[in-house]
Formats: sequence, C-alpha cells, structure tokens
Amino acid sequence: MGEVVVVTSGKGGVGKTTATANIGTALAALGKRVALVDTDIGLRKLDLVLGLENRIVFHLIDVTSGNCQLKQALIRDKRLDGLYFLPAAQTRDKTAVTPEQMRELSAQLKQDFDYVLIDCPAGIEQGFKNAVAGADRALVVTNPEISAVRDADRIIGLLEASEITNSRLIVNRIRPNMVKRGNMLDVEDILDNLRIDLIGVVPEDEKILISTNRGEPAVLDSSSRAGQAFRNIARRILGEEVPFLNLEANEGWRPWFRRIFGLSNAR
Amino acid sequence: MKREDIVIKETKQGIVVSLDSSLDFEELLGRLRVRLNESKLEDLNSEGQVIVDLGNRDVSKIKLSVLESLFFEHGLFLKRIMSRPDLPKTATRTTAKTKSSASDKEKKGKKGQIKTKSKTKAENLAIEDAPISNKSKISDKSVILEEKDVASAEVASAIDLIEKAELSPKDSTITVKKTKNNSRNKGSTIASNGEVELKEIFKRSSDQTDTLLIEKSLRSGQSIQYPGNVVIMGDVNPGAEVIASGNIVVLGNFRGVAHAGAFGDESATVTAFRLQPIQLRIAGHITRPPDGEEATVPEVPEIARIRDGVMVIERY
Repeated sequence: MGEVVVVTSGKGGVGKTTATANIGTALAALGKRVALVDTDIGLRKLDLVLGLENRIVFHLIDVTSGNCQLKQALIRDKRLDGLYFLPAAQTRDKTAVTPEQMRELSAQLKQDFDYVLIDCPAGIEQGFKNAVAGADRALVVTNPEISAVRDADRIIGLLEASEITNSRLIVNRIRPNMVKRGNMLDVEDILDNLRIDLIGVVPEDEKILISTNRGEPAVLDSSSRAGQAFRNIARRILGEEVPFLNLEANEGWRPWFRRIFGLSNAR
Repeated sequence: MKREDIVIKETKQGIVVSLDSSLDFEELLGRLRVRLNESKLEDLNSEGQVIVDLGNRDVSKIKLSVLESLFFEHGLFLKRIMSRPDLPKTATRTTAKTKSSASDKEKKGKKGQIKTKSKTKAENLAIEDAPISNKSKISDKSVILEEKDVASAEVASAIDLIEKAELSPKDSTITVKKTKNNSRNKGSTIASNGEVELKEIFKRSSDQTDTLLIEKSLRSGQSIQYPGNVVIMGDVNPGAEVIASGNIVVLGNFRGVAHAGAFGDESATVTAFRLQPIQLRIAGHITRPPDGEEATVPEVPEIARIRDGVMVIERY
C-alpha cells in the first residue's frame, strides 16, 4: 500500500509541476514505483516537463468517466522503469472530475505504487479540492516572497481543514546572494511564518529552465544544484536523514575563484 | 409548369423553391424529391444555394432539417428559408434600409408584410416567423441563432464541442452542417408512425461525407470533433485536437493531435502546410515523432496516410 502525496502551493508559478516531476523522477531513480498524476485539467503542463506529451492517448477524465482502464491511461516514463504518468485532459475543465472520483482513483493507484504524486493546480477552488481529496500528505511549495508565503499559509489552513496535517514545506527558487543582502525572505522567516516542517530548500537554477524546455527533469542532471536539492527531498520522503544543502558554499566556481585570488565578496 | 405545388425558379439570389403550403408535408417531400431528381438544379449557376419559400406553412425544426437533408442529397445547400405565416408576429429587421426591386418581385405583391418589415427592430428572429419582406435581408447571424436553438438538449457532443471551440458564427458552412448533424441525431429519436421515410432520408444523407470548414486557428485545449472531413484555415497549436471520421486538412502549421478516420476509415489522411504533429492517429494507428530528435520544421506541405498498414508521411 503506497502513499498519496499532493504537491500544492496556492499561488501559481512557484514550481509545483517542476517539483512533482523532479521528486517523482528522483523517487523512481531510487527504485520506488511512482505514479505522477496531473490534476491541472485544462492547463496541463506536467506532460511537457516530463517530455511525455506526444504519448498521451487517454487521460484522467477518460479514467474517471470509465472511457478506459486506468492501466491504459498510465504512460510509462521513457527513462525510468518504475515511473508512470497519468495526464490531465486539456480540452476539459476542473469540473469534469469530482473529489469522490479522485479519492477512488487515488485509492486505486495506491494499490500498485509506492508513491502517488499529485500535481495540484493553482488556486483553492474545485481543482484544489479534487487534488487533495485522495491525498495522505502534502508537500507545500512556496517561494521566498511574501505573496507566495501568504498563499501557502492559506493552503496549509485548507489542508488542515481536509485533515491533511503532516504537510511539509519546500522553499523553491531561493537565491542565497539575495538572502544574504537581505533582499529576499530567508528560510527562517518563512518557517517562522508558516510553522510547518521543512523538507527541502531548492536554489534558483537556470538548469531548471533548460530541463523543462527539453522535457527532462533536472534530477537526472547530476550537475544541477536544484536537481540535487530535489534528490535530497526524495530521500527525505523515504525517511532518510539528509543534511540540507549548504547553499552558500555551492555558488558554483565563483566563490572558490574569488577565494583563490583574494577578492572580497563584492556581490 | 405542370405541378403548381412546387415552383422552382432562378433569381439573382439563387434558386428559389416555393412549396405549396396546403399540401401535406410528407407528400410534399416525396414530390420535391422527384422534382429534384428530374431537374438538374445543381447545374444551374447558383453555387448550389437554395432559398426555400415555405409559404404560410408552419414547419417544425425537425421538418426543416429533413428538408435540408433532402436538398443536401442533391448537392444543394439551404441558404435561406422564407416563411409567411398569415399572422406575422414580430417583424424583424436588422437594417432599416430595405428591399431592392428584385426582392419586391419575389414578394408577389403581398402587401401586408411590407408595412411590418422596416419598422420593427428586434434581435431574435425565428426563421419561421420571418415575413417575406425580410427574405433577402435575413442575416446569416439570425440563421445561426436559430440553429443554436435547434441544437439544444439532445444534440450530440460533436456539436457541443464545435460550439465550445467558439467558432466564429459567420461561416455559413458550419451553420449548414450543424443543422444537418442535428437532423441526424434527431432522426433516430423520431417515432416510427409513418415517418419511416424520413428515417431513410436521414440514413442516406448520413452516408455522405460532410466537410466542416473552420476559419480560425485552434489553440491549446480546443477540440474539434466532427463526423466528416475537417478543413482548418489556420494553425493547430499543441494541446489542440482535431478528430474527424474523414480527412483532416490544415492550411497552416499543424502542431497538435489529429485523429483522421476516427470511425475506422484507413483511407483517411491528414494533410497540412507544415505537418509537425505531437501525435497522429489514423483509424486504429497511432504515431508520434521519434524521441530525441530535434523537431525540424518541414519545408513543404505533407500528407500522412496509411500504406500497407503503416503510417507514412510524404510530400504532398
């Protein structure tokens, strides 16, 4: 019996889909059987990030409405064996599925997979309700900016109301330099505000953009620091104790370069 | 003319078919078919467009659809329907400017209507109620409104989807098709008393392949599903899908998902000026571009078809 994890945020654009794709891929790379479910009906993107767009034949609505079997709609990842993907419908909207149907679907997927990751749409309306309906726990993604934190707070409240209490926080797209200069909320500020456990801090990384455009999750790129952060999150989900990345020490070659040449940290 | 009950004449606006209003509708249909068979109307130079004058007959929407199917069988399109109920209710005009002499002639000296025509302004116009004076002025728009009404509850998803795609209602081809479709759907639900003949008409008209013309691009999330051919004058973007029982022709970039021959017709084809599909389906075959290859934009129009059980894409 697996576990259903919803990846949610409230605010759009904070990296829910990226986090879902990367954590799911990392879990599968660690040998788990993983199903990724895109519940952003009408605005699907997870298929793009995974690079599986051209394999979609059936989708979530086909499954919930009985047009096809769940097995027929699940797409096997082209890179990893244990990774499967259930796409959202693009030509429908959020009302095409009900929380009850999602609960049923989640229960069904749990039978076959160790982890079921649900990519939640932005917002707190029907799409959110569908996504969290069958979830056992949640990963709340936020960015170091007050608008994202505010929405995350709202979402955590709603999750608690639907009896999902063991939510974990992912702070995505943090820029250590800016935090250092006091121009960006730091992780402590965010935790102080949201009061839930942190499961990972993901630095801003150009490679995320590149990997998204290529349809290859960044966790497969060993040189990507964001990918490393997502790999760590996956291990923490499995219960391992993994120290948090030292973001400052990992600013690429520049700090090292500066240290060698005795340059002060000008930036 | 021997038979006074059906008068066919050619006017500037197209072929006008006047149907006698006293005759039983079923019988009228029969005679009309005979007439259409013997007079090669489609040879007349009017682009196959027909204006039907129903006189003061009160015709239900279903019967209208039947009429249309009948004309369609003979390669004709119902362009306009005229009706002159004895008591014109709301005379509807879109513009105050009216009546060329040509349409005056067609009025055959019916006076009562002339009054009503230009004064009253109304938005919604039920075609059956249109006084004759409106005939040359019934805008395509009002025709569409009418058909939307027709396409109400029982209409199959195909039509719903077409409407969802927010097709611009200017295109008369779409209009005609909608009604046709509709007639087909309703055909199956018609009671069997004496209307067997109608059923036959439906059946026969459904054997012919319709073509849906779409004069806009399809964006992500838009879906066209149509029992016939589909021609798109624009692009089809990723995330959009076109599903047709016949062929699909895209006069632009095709970057979405296409399913031609959706009912199993392996001779169906997908043609596009620039064929760069995410996925192509013809009948029971599914293909996608190979992984790992940089998508290149073809420089020529291409056609995809099934040859020896394999989908091939070649220069068109």
